[in-house]
Amino acid sequence: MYGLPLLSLSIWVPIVFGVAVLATGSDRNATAARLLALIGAIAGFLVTLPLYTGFNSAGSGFQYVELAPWIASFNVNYHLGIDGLSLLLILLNSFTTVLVVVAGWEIITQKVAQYMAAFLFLSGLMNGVFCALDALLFYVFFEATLIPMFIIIGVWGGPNRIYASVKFFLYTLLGSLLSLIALIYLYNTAEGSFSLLDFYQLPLGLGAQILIFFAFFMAFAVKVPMWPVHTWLPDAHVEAPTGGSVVLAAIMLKLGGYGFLRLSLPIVPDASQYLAGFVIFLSLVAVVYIGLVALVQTDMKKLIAYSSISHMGFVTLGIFIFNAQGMEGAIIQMISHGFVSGALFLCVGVLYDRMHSRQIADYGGVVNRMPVFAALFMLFAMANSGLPGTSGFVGEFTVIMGAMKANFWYAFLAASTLIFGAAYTLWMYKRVIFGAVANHHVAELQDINLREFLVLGALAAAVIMMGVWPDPFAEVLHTSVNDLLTHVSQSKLPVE
Amino acid sequence: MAVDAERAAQDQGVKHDEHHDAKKHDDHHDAHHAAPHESPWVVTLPLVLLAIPSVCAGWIIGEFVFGRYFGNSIVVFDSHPAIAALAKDFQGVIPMILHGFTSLPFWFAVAGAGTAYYIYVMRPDLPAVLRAKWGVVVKILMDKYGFDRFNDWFFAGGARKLGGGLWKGGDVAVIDNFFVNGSARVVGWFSTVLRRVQSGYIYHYAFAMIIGILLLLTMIFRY
Repeated sequence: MYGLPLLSLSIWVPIVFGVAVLATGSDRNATAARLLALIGAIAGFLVTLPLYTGFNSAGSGFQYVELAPWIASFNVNYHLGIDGLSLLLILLNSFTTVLVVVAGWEIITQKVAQYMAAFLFLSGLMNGVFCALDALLFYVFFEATLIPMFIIIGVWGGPNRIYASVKFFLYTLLGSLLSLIALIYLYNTAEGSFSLLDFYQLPLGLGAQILIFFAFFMAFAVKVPMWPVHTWLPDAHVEAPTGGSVVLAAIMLKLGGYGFLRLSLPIVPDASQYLAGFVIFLSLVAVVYIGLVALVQTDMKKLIAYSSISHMGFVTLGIFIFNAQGMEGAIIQMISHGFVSGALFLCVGVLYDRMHSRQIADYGGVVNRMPVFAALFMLFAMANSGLPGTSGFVGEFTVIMGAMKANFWYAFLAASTLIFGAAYTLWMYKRVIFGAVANHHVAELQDINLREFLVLGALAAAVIMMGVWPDPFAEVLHTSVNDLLTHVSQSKLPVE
Repeated sequence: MAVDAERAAQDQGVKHDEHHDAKKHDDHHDAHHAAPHESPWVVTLPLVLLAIPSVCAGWIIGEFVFGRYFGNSIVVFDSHPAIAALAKDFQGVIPMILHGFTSLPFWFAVAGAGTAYYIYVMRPDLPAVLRAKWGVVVKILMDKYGFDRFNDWFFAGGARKLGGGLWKGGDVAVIDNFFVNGSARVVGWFSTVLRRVQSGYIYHYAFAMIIGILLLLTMIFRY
């Protein structure tokens, strides 16, 4: 469309602006850095919009394909293309980048240019993951996203930031190293091609498929994160600055879910089906176990981090029950969770900026001082509990319906999230927002300013729109999901 | 930090100040502190709007449920003829109202209103007498048969206990401490042991080489 390489633009516009923001240098030019970052983020978002308007929902296969040689001697190509699944994640990513730039506006006062640039780099790199059709390109983008996030947590994080950032880095890096080995094995088996499209057609024995599955699984399960490799996430969230938490929860975790859909399922379909019970088991443990753990958290960010893990359990559950509803629900849930968890972390950020505490016990009666904030926070809390009319409901309900088709008990256990989710979210909300004004710090709170209102308001609009009218999100998915399910249903075991 | 200091101050000295007490009691006895007042219009208006259909809806609802209003939108399976069974008993609005007067729930409601009027308006001295005489019964009723307390203790408390156990026992002790930090410790321990091998003494290295050569030769000549 328009003859422009839109996917390349969606990757490189934020990165080029990131370089420009870095060039503004020290904090003496902080305002210039902020403005330039905002322009870059908005430009990055604008270039992704034609992807949606020009997208052919009925079209099979990948769209907006770009192909150019990158490392010719190893047959590695700069090969990009998207389907409905990647489209939504790219839009979510570019939208979120605008919000985190605005959210960090006056809050970040140290090394402003570096902070803003890190987010722009991260945005471009994550778009790269969602576009890549070459396995090595995918891997490079996938790993490169660790660097800006490592810096964001390690430089602008809380007191324990070094521990958290190293834990985050080691956990996710170790997980994905095995997947590189799997990719190299596939490269050799495919006779010297890194193209995902070639991998999709490659016949593989069940033994090899299972090993490859676990290699991918290590990478993506850590990223999602699935129980029991989830413990890096609460630490990372607690220490990360607000913007870091927002991007981590809203987009980075989705790299894991996306990896399952883009790599695991189509490349090793037989192993994926063979081991589906195992993944479903881990997902249901995440939903129930983590739901209970979230209930007892005393730190708001930790509570939302655990809530994220529980909600992402829904995503992996939906993916591995292998029906259209489950899979579409999982993708919708990823997008919805991007809005809702991002918004909740921003809400905690709003309180933290004023009180410098994330402890629930330090709050109480905030509604008396911040009624507008309390109303928005209420909406996001409701969405996190999966209330109908919000985006949280659509994904969860669709996954539960899909699970019901697969097995009653899957659906039964998954539905427990509606109880746990409501319990931990609303109980936290009640303790923070309602009741008598807890102390003189709460008494001195000021309601949100215009900048904060714009950020939270945009997310509120997204949450409600997706809740009452999910069609624009769902319709781009149907064909992609059906194609994927058809592909997965065909065995790749070599014919004897 | 400031908040922590504040909390510490509260804990040390001002435990019994008015503010603190007010917060403590507010949860259950709001009415003791704030005088009852008329609700604001945002509450009153919806109530009025809801009151109108609750009076009138009964006159037309029969047509919705038993008539043709829904067309084919609602399908009732022949195996579950619930609507047909209801329809047999529905003879129009007036008979329905008259039927209402003969049903037990209606008279329970009337009896409730009547009792309340009698003991709180006509004989306001009675509640104290009743409480003195039938304290146990009053307590059971006031506690709503203890269901709330049971739910608080069993479901809410139980879930919190379980969650706490899973967190401290599962996440912190087993996953983080045993597996994650445990593997780091094992690597660390292993390297301290290995480090001793690198003693710097030439005769240690020479000895190791001799053993290695012996092993190699054994392997070569065995096969």
